[in-house]
Amino acid sequence: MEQETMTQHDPADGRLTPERERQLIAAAQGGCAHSAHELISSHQQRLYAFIWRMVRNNHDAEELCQEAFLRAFQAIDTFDSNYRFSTWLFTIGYRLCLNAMRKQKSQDLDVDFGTFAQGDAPGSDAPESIADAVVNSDEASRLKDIIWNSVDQLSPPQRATVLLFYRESLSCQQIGEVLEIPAATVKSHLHRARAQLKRLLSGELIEDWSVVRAGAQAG
Amino acid sequence: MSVTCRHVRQLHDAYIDRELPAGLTAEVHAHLLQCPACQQQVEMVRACGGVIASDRSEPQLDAGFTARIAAAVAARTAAMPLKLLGKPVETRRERRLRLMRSFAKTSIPAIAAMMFFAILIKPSAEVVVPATAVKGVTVEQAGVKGVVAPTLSALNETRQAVADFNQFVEFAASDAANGASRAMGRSADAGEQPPTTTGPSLLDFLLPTFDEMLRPSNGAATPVEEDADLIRL
Repeated sequence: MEQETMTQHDPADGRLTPERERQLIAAAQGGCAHSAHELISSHQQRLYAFIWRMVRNNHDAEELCQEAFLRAFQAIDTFDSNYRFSTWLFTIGYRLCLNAMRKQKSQDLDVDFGTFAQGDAPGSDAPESIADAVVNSDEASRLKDIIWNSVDQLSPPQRATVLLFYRESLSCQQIGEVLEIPAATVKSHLHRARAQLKRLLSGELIEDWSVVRAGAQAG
Repeated sequence: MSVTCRHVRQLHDAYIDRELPAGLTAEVHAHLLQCPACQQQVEMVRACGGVIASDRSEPQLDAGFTARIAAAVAARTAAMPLKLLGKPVETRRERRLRLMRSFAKTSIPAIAAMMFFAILIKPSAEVVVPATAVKGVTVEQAGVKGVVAPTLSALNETRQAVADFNQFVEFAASDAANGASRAMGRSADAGEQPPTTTGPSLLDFLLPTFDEMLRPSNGAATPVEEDADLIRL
């Protein structure tokens, strides 16, 4: 059974295959708690990471993630199997994030840096290659901080576009379905986000980029 | 034609996303090999994408999260009314249309009913109230005397005028009879012309009568006017 379950996931990141996802959704629509449990467990960390990157608060991210799952399963009977379940979840999660950010707009943004770069301390894991050593170096760690801080300065649609494009490997069409905007607007968001990242990062990181590039070439 | 840095910067995104045609990709690639600045820009964007895609520094959910969500889903689904189960998720446009329809269904009859009742209970044209009522004095409050006294006075005057007229008719008739007899006796005696009348003429009688009728009454007018003032309150 375990072997069968493992074969139903993409080997790369443990995501469900479309076929397995359809089976689980059909079972969940029939009231199967085990299928709902498996759907939740296979999507929860990705959805939580996306929401956390949007709101940057542990407590709020967990609350919004839970609410997104609840809303999704409340309307599971109306789910269109032509779409991916993750697309639907991210759509709900994105809307919840926007609502939460609007509510907190007047308040000071409480960025939770306490858990940022958790487990990324140099030497925490034994480097397996030169490239990993470079990535886990002090320069790379500082670079990651600066990159994520730059991502945080993007507008919510631009940030969501960047996250879904790079983290979830969604196409512009799929991102448009999640954000409920045209694909051309998604491309515009992506272009502007990259331009802003280049502008924010180009001034001070010449040495760090050189290190990363040299490490990548060596790897 | 060799591409310039400005051209390549415009093609960075498409080059990174591998959306350029093969020929243009080769030209951009050739430019990047000889231009460190453009190469660094492209590498920077690629490195950003790589960090965003691969960095997993977000906090991890605890082990009990899945069980809590599953329990919450089961509890909320059980608490939902049966009619809500399977209810399709509305888009914003569908929700707006549904609210507009329900508003039209309920509000239009209500507005029509309100307009009907408003027309129904609207007061008609202003009633013209007699002066006596406007001033708050009715006939009873003014007293019967005030109404009747002028009437009796008019009746007395009329009666007096009728009596005067009867007296005038009787006098005129006797005067005519006397004149006629005298004329007949004279012509019978000597055949002379009849003489002019020596008694009071009709005009002599009418003038004082009309003077009397046109003269304003003094003695009886005082109480009448006083009574009339009661009505004119």
